[in-house]
Amino acid sequence: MNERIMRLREESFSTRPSFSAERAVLTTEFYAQWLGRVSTPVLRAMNFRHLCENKAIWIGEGELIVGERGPRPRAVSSFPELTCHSEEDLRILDSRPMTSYAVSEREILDYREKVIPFWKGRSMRDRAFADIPGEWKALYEAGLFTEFMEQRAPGHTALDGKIYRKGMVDFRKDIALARSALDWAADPECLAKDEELKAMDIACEAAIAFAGRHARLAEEMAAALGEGEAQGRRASELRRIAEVCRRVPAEAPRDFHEALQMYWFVHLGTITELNGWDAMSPGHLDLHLGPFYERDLASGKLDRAAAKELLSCLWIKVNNTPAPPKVGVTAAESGTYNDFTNINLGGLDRAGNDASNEVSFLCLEVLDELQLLQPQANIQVSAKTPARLLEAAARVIRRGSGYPSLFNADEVVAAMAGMGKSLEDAREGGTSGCVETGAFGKEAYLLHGYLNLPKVLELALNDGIDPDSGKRIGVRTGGIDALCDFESLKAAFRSELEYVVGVKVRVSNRLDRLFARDAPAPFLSVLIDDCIGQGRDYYDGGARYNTDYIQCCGLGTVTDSLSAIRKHVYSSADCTLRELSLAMAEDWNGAEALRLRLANQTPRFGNDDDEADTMAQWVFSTLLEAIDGRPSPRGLPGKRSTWRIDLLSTTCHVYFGLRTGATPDGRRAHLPISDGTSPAQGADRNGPTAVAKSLAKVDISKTGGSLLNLRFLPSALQGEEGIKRLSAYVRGYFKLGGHHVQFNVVDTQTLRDAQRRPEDHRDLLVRVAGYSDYFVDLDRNHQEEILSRTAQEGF
Amino acid sequence: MSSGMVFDIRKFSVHDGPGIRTALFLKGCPLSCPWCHNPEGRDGQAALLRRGDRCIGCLSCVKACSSLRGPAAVDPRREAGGPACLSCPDFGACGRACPAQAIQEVGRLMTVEEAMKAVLQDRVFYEESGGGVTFTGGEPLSQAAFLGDLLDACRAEGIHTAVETSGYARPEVLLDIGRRADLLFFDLKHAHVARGSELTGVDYSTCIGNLEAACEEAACAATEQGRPFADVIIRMPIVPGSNDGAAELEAAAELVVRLPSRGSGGAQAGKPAQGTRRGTEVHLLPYHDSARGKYRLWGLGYPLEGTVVPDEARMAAARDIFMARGISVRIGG
Ligand code: SF4
Ligand code: SF4
Repeated sequence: MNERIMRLREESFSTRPSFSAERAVLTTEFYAQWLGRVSTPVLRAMNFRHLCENKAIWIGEGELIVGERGPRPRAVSSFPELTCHSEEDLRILDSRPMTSYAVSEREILDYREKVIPFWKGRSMRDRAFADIPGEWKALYEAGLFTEFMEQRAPGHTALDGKIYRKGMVDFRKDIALARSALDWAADPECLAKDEELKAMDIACEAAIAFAGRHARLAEEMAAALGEGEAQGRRASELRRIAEVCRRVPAEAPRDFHEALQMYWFVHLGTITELNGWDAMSPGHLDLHLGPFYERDLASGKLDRAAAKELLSCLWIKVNNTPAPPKVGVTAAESGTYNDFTNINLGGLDRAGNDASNEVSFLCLEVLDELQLLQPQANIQVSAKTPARLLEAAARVIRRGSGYPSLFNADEVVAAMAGMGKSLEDAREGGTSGCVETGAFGKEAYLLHGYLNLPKVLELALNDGIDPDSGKRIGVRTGGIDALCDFESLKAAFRSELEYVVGVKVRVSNRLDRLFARDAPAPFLSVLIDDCIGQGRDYYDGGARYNTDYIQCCGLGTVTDSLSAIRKHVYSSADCTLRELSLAMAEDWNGAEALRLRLANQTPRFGNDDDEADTMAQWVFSTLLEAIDGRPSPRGLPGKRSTWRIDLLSTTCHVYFGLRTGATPDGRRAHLPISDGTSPAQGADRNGPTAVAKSLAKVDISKTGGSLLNLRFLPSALQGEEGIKRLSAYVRGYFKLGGHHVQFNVVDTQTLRDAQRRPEDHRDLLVRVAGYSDYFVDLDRNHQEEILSRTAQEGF
Repeated sequence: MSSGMVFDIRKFSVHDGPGIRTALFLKGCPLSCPWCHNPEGRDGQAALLRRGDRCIGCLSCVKACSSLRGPAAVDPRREAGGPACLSCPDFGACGRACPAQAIQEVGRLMTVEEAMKAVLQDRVFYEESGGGVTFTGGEPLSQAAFLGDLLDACRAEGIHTAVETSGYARPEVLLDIGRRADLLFFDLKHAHVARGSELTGVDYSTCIGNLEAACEEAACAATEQGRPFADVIIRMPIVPGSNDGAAELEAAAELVVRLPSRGSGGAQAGKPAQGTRRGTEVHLLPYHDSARGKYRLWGLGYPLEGTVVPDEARMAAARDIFMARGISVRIGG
């Protein structure tokens, strides 16, 4: 890290995130004037242009890559057209102890006087929730599922390589061509398509204008600099910045610096237009930058250190962009500043060759040195990935920050090919967000919310009644008297699941249509194939591939619970279902022996024990039956999206745990349920290889992603042999068909110490879910959850 | 096929040889080294470990047992694992009934098939890491027939095997095992027979004799094709006050130097060319007291109370003594 990077990093690391009303105010002004005068796509594009032309722009001291979403670094924009914060929300955001955002009285005033009055009743959230069925509300409030579209726009988008070959000027030509090809004589959708294409054109123009403003500012700043060596050096940097901003994004980049700035402008554009989940990701950054790097190196334009400096600047830019805060927050909620930009390294190129190059190593070094929250990176590990790369990654992992995470590229590609994607498109795809598989630059793979599996079982055991409220929110399945054998319990679980999923999907489909109609994203649509060719928005099935996901949580907990009931109630009959049910209702008070028996004497998931693992397979296939292949309204007839499952929980297993009573695996009420595809906390007692073996028995390739968290004690990974062992562990797991694994390498003592003295551990990054976060920024529940994960010692 | 008494199976074992390994702990050991890490592995019989701290007093153990009258984990009069249990018709029934894992059965009679089933589960990880299985204990040679069958079964499956041994066995038994294994971790506790015997409680000349014989075999095997014998790595625990005096370490290094080694083909043992590394590889394992808690759980006094864990400088000094003689040596396993 040179001095420049050290300073920029420190600024980014220590600047408290703040809330900016700028975007909200500009958008409100614009809507007040234009709503109803133009078509919705054009309205959205014009609003985007309005923002690009009028928002405050920023070029910080020493910066080489420029542009911020907010008026200054770490200032986060809001999106009142989707969800409008209340004054109370803003005050809570400012004052809550964890992951707070500074909110000035000025912003609150803007909200009170301009933003809130206009958007009340008009925002997507207000309109979506004005007409929601009662049964959905009951399930939602009981903690059966969450709804992503309630807070943000659909997202998880990542880009392919097209922006390194084409600029906005080229896209405008494509758009013009598509408009001229519209069949006004026969196509009933002609008008809609024309409006959408017009909107895309305006969005391209807007992005060029945005860059132009930065070029002018850089020139002005250079001109204002005085004499002297340092001043002169900065002036020439600023003139270079101006030159780069005149080139991109209008035209395709010609060198490494332009390529990075191209990506950053495009990234900013997409997250200014809307706040899609997981911001934006560059996809295979190393693959895309490799040719620029080689060329610049050969021509002498750049050396390795300069390339690394530029990359570091991009990293810091991403870190300057914290996640937009939620609305309707309670003081207890914490969330994360991470907005989930996830960079893919390694993997395969379109032809199926190893895609890693020197830039892969540069990225790893930057990741390791900067130790920032964002962006995070993953290695797509294929059988073709060189040992050198995996071992370099293992070294970063061993330092304990939790990243990079590791994915099985061969499985990811096979999974996508299995869904009907071309092999080339699949290889250019990978993983975005936490662990979500997608065809980068070509797919709208939308996540719609988490599903609480242990709570579904709770309904099945209670005749559809939520024991928490005493209300019937599920379907009648007879309750414990009717569950005379294990098959009838399975059937009840299946019925409750079908019902809950049915209610969820109906509302999610409705929200999907609402976004397609009222919140199109023309700029994003320019970047995703084949929106231009189809004349359709990304949110309306314009992408080449379309998929919808429900993220199922608590596989481990529900597997162990079923396994416990099968063994102790139906097989050895050492307790009755009624006794079990009563004990759970009392949260095991007075039934500690029973609780321990269930927890300790049950075959549990994560131990390479077929008895438990076949139960997990049953749960998995039941999920597939209930969800996989359900129709979705998005996309062209014949190419419609379908519903699929993901097995990840991010941090939702903590929330779901709070909403779920005691479970038959001996878990106490309100403790977290198992996360991702990890075994229930403490259930795995046979070491990490057994965990991998158990997991590999579930056919993950039928999902859009799974998540395995492992915690290792540093001693297990010592020395060169430790690196080799970690690599071999990953290779072995992936050979078995595993999808993803990530590691926390930290000892319990360090974590406890961080709880006691957070100020001494400000930069202790730990793996939370599909991402890493600062341990001291997590609330107590999350901290304890991480501590409760089995620590793999290596014996 | 034979069966044997196994007291633990640990996967992802990282201190017992190359790669990712599964360690099988065979019960029973005739030695009594004071620094022993697995005191529960000495007795060849199954035993019960009582964890009074975990007992919740539910009396499930009492219901399962014909002779108990109070919680098996805590009752001082009729403790599980006590003399009365020797004639128990269903040994460990108490532990299996205990929900709290307050009584653990340590030692289980396993057939070769059962043990191999556990071993084979991690095959893919052995393959990726160059790992395999390590048989340890206890003294695995005290169940030589079982061990031999396990080694053969692994060889048939193409799984790399290592055996950790004190070398205390009849020479023909040791050499037979050496031929069926891929790697022997041979303990060297002391170079002097008298002090070695004092520390281990057995005639230590047997161990030293076997070490020489094994190295001889290994050296010959290395030069003669088709003559299988395991590689030998010497492991020496460095235990302050027991074997870490400069003179003691020098004697040990001298002993190692004199051993026939692969490079020397056995014949020229002790007359190596100047400057080349030679002799059998040595791992020096620093004594540590992490087993103290285990002694307490088993109600045993800790024999090395007060012994300090050797620091890095001390270990480096020990290493240098070996290095000075051109021995390939490292600290840790
Ligand atoms: S081993 Fe047998 S006799 Fe001893 S306590 Fe257990 S059940 Fe009773
Ligand atoms: S069964 Fe276990 S927990 Fe219950 S009294 Fe006996 S030893 Fe204690």
